[in-house]
Amino acid sequence: MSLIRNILQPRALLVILTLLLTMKATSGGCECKSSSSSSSATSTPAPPPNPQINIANQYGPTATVAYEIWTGSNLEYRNGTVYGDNLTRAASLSTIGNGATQNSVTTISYDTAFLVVFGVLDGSTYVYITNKVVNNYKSTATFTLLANGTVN
Amino acid sequence: MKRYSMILPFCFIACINNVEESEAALDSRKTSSSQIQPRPLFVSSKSRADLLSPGPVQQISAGAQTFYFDSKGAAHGSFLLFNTSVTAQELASGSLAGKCVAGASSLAGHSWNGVTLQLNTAASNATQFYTCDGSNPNEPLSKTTKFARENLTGASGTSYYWVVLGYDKNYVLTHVSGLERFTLP
Repeated sequence: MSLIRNILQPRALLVILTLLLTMKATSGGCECKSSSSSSSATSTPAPPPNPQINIANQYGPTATVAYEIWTGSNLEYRNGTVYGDNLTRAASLSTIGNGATQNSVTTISYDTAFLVVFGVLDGSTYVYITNKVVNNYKSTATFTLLANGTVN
Repeated sequence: MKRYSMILPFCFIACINNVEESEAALDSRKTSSSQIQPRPLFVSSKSRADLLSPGPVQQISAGAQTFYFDSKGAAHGSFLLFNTSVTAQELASGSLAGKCVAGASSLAGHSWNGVTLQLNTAASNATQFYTCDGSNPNEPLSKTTKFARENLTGASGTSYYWVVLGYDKNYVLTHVSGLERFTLP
């Protein structure tokens, strides 16, 4: 009787209630964790595809255009020198004939800045050079050297 | 003051070099050499004059053609048109006979705005071309005989070359472009 009387004491009831709640929470937590893990696997968006860079030559009849692609930050091309932090040559020198487009030259990781250097060839020398810096690039696109010397 | 006047000419060159080194040093970014290197100027160690249009190796128009360039505000200037590639040595020696076909120059008394010339005899006199026979090494350009687009008689794809030269008020060559090629349509 004394045991029953002790259990019915408010302090003892509080302890029992706490224990019951803890047990419930633990078992429920396991369910939540399992449920949460399952939910996370289905709702996390897939990583974006790496953008594909295409280069096109519309400079004009007979002109062959060469290009390089560099990745990094604070990118700049000046007088034959490429400046940048974490500088990497992503695509080495390639050439494109008049009117051609070159696909799948290289892929650039999502959100990576890059620099394309264009050089118009006359024989073995570059007679016109221009460049384009692209930041936060997120999709596939074509960069075209136009007849007026700009890059579209 | 006498001391400074003796030192300054030497300091001038040294200071220019120091400025160039400082600019490179201040740029903390990594650098790498591109395989795409600018063509050297027609005459080395001069400042660059730009040839803007027609672009290098491009075709000119079938009709009247305007040439756009920038002689960078030089006090005097020359534009020379050749039917073959020439060297700076040939230009300096005046050996241009049979090579120079047209041009304009403030040194020959032609009007010169430093930025445009038109292959069109109906155009303003301010932007006219004149014939160049190169027979006189010191004065290859005619002062009176104009040169028109139809005077470029080569077949389609024929190459011509052009260069722009800029001089200071003392007629010293200060600016020069590359020798660039264009073709006939």
